[in-house]
Amino acid sequence: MPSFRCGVEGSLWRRAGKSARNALLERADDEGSSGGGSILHGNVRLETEPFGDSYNVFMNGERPAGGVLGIDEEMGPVPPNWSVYFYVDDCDAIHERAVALGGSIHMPPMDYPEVGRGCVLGDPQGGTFAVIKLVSPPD
Amino acid sequence: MTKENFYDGDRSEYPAGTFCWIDLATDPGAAKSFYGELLGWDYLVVPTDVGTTYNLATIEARQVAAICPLPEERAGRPPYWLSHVSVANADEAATKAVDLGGTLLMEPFDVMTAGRISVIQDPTGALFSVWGRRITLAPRW
Repeated sequence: MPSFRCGVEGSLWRRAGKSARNALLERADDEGSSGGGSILHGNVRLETEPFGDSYNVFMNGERPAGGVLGIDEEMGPVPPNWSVYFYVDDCDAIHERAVALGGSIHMPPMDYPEVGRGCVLGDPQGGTFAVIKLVSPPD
Repeated sequence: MTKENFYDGDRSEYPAGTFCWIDLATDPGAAKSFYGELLGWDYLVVPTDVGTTYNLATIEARQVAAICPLPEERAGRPPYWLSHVSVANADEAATKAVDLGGTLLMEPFDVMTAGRISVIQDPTGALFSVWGRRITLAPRW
């Protein structure tokens, strides 16, 4: 992991704030049925490894292109959406700062086993986004 | 594929079928302040050909996302982050999306010199855009 830090209060890694991954949230009964693979590229396919049945990965050729997970009832009234994730180096610190800046919490920080720690936030105007601290960030 | 290589590092090209850009449609003034404070973004303000501004968010002068006003037809509705997918041809992708049960929220249109995009709602309701690029906006992260 690069040691160079940038930005606010020295708390962001070099890639902090950059888009990490897009994930499609779909209702569980519609999971994987969007036809997105067909729209996006002939090579796109869905894989369930290595994240298990709860998270499918769109593969574009040999490269992962996005992910799909079902919307559980416990998530509340979440419409199907493509979520954006930003890399951060400290999920809990970003969570606290977001609240201090007038943001809201859609999902408090939680650990994704072997992946990292993330939370889903709302900006003060109502936009929704996620942040994630990765166990193994890219170079 | 492993968990370790699921995440993108720096990249300079976006082959068809790859997420290539994100932008937030919102009240730009307030949102720029929030995201700037939270994530350390600076902004390059770019005038558009429709009289609005497109605020390119940067880290170390590298463009990572953008913040823009809500389109007129969605004024007053909630802000949203829109994910753009690179395609070879936006018109062909839009036609295919309709064939597959999608709905075009914006017919393909030219984004100044940057390319041609269409905003699509998939059959489950999720929004995304297809972007046939003429230039690379340099969204390298």
